Amino acid sequence: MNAINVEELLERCMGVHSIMETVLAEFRDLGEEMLRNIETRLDEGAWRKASEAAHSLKGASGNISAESLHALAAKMEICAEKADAEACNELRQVLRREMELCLHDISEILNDCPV
Amino acid sequence: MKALVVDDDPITLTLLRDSLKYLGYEVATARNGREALAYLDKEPCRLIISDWVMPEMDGIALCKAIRERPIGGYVYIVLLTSKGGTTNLVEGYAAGADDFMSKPFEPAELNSRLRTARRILSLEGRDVTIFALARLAESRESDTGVHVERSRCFAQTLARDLAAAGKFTDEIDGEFIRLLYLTSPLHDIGKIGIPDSVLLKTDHLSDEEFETIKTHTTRGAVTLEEALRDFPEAKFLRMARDIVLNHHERYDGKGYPKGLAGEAIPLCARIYALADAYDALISRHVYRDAVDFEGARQIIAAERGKQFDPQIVDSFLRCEERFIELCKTTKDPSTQRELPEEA
Repeated sequence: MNAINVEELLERCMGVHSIMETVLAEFRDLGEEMLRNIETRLDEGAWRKASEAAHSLKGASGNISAESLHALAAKMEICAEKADAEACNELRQVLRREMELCLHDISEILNDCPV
Repeated sequence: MKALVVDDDPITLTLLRDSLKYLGYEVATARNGREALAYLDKEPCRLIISDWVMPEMDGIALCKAIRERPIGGYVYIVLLTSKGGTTNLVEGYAAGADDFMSKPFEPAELNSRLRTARRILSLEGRDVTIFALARLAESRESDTGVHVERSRCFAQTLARDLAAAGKFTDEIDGEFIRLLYLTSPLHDIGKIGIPDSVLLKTDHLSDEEFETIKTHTTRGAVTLEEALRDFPEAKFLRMARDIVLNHHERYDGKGYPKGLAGEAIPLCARIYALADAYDALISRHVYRDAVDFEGARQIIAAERGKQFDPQIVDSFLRCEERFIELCKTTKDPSTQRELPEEA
């Protein structure tokens, strides 16, 4: 299963490849930073800020149709809001793996895109 | 059409910006509510698509701030939200949002929401129609239309000043000011029913003729009252009716048609009464010359607590310079020739 639902993403971008490429390139540049922000907030025990950071990742991943990442970020948002340290620790590992898959997929999609 | 997209997530911002550009919109972006307000201070924009959850100023606070501001035209706000549930929607509507769109958005949904927005905004053509009708009514007495334009600006200036001074805070907000500006040109719409032989008479009016003239308030109000029965929620009709009926009432109760006094006279009519009277004073009429600005100021000040609400006279005295500036920008041949020396 692909980390990114390209068909859905392209539809969201009105079928315009250049919009899709711009959005994916933006996520490639920012995704890692967004994840690190969640991890930093969790390490600090700043639950509310961790939840807000997860909310941002949820929105961004939803927009690029990274469905699994979107679902995991949504879970993280809730767990952090509840200050559920155990659930957050489990989720951060899964979230990182999913982010790596996403970024890998994005590289491939951008390489395959017609110039 | 220009759209302002507000979101702290750069990816959503990029996606919406590029999609809207593709659909033919001119697009501006802001990263939170505060940036959006700063943009609106400089540039007019009628359509805003804003995220709900944002740092510094969220979408709800942005909606409230926009609705409280005396912005000339209506601003249509679509809130982007991953929040579901009736309570959240009610909170959004109460803050002044017009519509909602779930994140991540679908293009078909985006398109239909934008179509609705354009349709609602096009209803503002109604404003133009109101103004055209008002000018038509006035055209029987004057062919310039300057009176309706200038007196609505005076009224708007007073309302803004009163709001800034913290007066009548339970009544004056951005919508009140907008509606006052929109509906006040209708103040003399009832004159359509007054015969030319009376309305255009240049000699002194007999008592009977003056009684006929006075009926323009009730004639106009009856027409608007009928429309109000069909659309009881239409605030612009309600304010128009209040102004039309009451703009010749006096604060001391010696006005017409009902002899209402003090705060029994609707605030919009108390404000408009001063704006209308000031414009009448500084304009030349067939039966008298225009009064100069100093003379007009003295006459208005002398009527504090008599013809006019004292707080509204105080407001006029605070912003008289703005009135004079407005006269300079909307001059007509009937306006006094001599403008006061520049300070």
